[in-house]
Amino acid sequence: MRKYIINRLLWMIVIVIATAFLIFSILYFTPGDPARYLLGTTASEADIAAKHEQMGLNDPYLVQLGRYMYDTFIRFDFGTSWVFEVPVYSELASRLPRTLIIGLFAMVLNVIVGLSLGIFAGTHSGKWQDSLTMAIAMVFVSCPDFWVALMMILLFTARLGWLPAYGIDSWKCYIMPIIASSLGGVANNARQTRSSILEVFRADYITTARAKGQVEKKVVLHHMLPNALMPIITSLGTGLSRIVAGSAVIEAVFSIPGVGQYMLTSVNYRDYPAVRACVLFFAVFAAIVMLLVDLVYAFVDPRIKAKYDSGRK
Amino acid sequence: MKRRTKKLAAILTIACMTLTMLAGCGNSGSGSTDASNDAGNSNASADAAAEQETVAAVIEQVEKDESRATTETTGERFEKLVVAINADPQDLNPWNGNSGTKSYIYPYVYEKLFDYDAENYYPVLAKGYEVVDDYHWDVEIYDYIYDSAGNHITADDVLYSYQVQIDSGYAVKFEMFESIEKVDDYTVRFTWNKPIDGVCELEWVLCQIVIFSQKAYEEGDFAVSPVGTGPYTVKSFTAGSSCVLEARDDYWQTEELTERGHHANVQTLEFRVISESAQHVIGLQSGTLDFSFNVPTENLSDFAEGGQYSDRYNIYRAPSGQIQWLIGNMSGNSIWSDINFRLAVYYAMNTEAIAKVANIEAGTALCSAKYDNYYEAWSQLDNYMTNYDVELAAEYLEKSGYNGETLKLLASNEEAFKNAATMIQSLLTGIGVNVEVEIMEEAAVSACLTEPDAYDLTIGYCGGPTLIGTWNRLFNNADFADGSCIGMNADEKVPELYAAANSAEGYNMENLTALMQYVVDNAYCYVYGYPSTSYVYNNQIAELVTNYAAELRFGDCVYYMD
Repeated sequence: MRKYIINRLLWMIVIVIATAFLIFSILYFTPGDPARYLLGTTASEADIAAKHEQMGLNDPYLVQLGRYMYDTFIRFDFGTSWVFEVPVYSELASRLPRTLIIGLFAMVLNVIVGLSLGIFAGTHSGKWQDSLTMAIAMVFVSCPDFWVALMMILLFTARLGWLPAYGIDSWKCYIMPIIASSLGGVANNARQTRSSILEVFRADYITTARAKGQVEKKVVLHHMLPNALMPIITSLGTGLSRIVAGSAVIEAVFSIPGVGQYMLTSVNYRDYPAVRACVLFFAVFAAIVMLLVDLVYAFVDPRIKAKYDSGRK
Repeated sequence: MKRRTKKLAAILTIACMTLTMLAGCGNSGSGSTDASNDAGNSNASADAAAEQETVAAVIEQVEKDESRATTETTGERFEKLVVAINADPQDLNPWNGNSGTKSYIYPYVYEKLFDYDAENYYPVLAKGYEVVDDYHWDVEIYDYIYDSAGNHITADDVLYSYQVQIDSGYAVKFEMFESIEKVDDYTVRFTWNKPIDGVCELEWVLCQIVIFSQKAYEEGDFAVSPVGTGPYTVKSFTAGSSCVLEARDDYWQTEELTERGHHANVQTLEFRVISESAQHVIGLQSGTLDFSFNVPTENLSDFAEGGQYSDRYNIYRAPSGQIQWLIGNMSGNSIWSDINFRLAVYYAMNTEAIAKVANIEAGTALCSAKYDNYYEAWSQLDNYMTNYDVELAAEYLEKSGYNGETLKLLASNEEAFKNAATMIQSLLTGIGVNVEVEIMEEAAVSACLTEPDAYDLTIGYCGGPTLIGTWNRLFNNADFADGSCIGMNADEKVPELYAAANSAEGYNMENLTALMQYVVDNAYCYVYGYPSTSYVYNNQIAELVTNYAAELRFGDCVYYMD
């Protein structure tokens, strides 16, 4: 098991370095001059040339790439934001909790509501409860996050006046962003869970459990669910990465200063140090989540743990 | 049957959602939809667009009710004002303060040596200036300036502030600046590398550099917690979310000498970063916002007289001091070098229609009424900016050397320019000129403007506190790369006329009119509109007040206190 984890961690390093190289190169060759953005349209060519020099943009590609790699992976320094004029690391650190609050709570909602709905639909397969649940799931899967967010604002802020539409002043500000972020995932999880439950619904061991007189609740929770969990866990893992990496939209709609909005602003202003750091953060986050998903597999399915222990993948 | 019902339900659900989304997205696209029609339809749609009058275009500032108690009559401060801004001010470091939404916050926290209007420098931290000779100016500051942390500001701090901002790389338009040195504790001497004779030439050097205490800067973190000499101090700042300012009770300047733009009639001034303009509307409707610069045009009628929220809000349409133009690339043997072609294009422009889709006021001259030295007679002249004449355009096109080639129209990706570009494309198609529109980000457009092969025609904007400053990018070859301003016009007479008008003595109607007339006679530039900003504000604000540069100052506004 330990060997497997070490192996995965080494792969993570390779992935992060490759991501860093890719994002640096893409930004380097992207049209648009950061100095012009920073100085505005009134700046003369001399002003812009001086700013280029100050920002190190006149150096050749390889020199800039080497400097970036050295700073990031040897000195662990993401640099200073060209636009925000503050260290990228501190800006990320101050914004990360807001993004994580939304991401993790949305994930909790995903798990609780999605699993419940999926089990409910799966165990009532072919009945009206199943159709209704899946119809609702279909609607949520089809609705884009930002559209759901705007509709919620119209209802809960403009019409009912219950919740604030923007800001981070109180816990109430996070309610709508969390729900809007999670709805698509809830629906996906419900559909995935239903499908997994249906796969094991008529398995021999389930029939045996029922024949032995176990109550239906126990059959579902102790026999069906553990065997149906594998695809659900995969779906949850990718769902969490999607919520966090896709936080820009929800953060923009609700004016929450999180990592997503930081990246969005940075892209618009050609703030390369900030963009690179955000992309790296999302890459590391996704890699960690997928590693955790793999580890959870082992706990859920003893066969996989045995494979890890024996060194096979 | 059951399966069929399910299918039907699914199709209905998808159809409803699609319709709802399209309904939500349909506001600003109408102009471009019209414009993308074929040539036959384009003029009809343009005329129809021109006939519609925007609510905002006719709105004046609501008159103050003299019978009510105000901050003026009571001498007290209004408790709190919450202002929505649409972008993150990023940081509060003491440079680049006139960019983006920083410009809303900086004037309350930081102060400069001088303020300015079209032609004058108004002392703020400085008592005044003395012209020692052509190359040296002495500036004396007040000897009782204290920042919000109680630090005494001296000439050393002035020198330090200039050095910090020069080092930051944001000290632009400093070409004439040679050095700054200390004369005594409260006097500094500026050395120029050429005589100063341009109109408001020192706007950037004297009026954009903020002054702060060296001690406060070295000990603190100005990015999030700046210490300035302004009438407000930063109570809290969360990047991307909000900035709360609190009025200083210990502001250093005496009431009698406090200049316009430096008052504190509101106790707490809160700026909320809300990027979605729809959220501004919600915030105003729910009463959590008092002021917004970014209410979408289609929502303005809700706040205007007779609207759903007119009992709580007023609207004011403020001119922004910009002009938006269309210019052709005249480098080399371009078709734009042919005056007949330029006139054909410009006479084919339906200004009202372009302005309508760009959501700005229609242009009639090379400047707007925003400028002090605006001459109304320019708007009455008989030329291509006041006449939309397709037949005349066709005549000029016939006389020109145009052979049906496709021209590239370069525009930035802002909604206003995208829509204007599409309308221009449509209007030109109407007279038989083929145009393809290329949309880029603003900085990319800016980079292309001096490349001879990058475009055939382009639209953009320019502005400034003075008319001559506004024309700088268009006609002042001396100020831009390779001596080429936008359009790369090689006519030496243009910069010559510009130089004549751009001096303290030459900045008069005669010289400005001469330049304008020459440009119009030769069809070098076409202005299609003047952008403006709609303020939607709580009707507890009795009077909107600006500084000398016509920028709104919440601390100077008058508020009802009953």
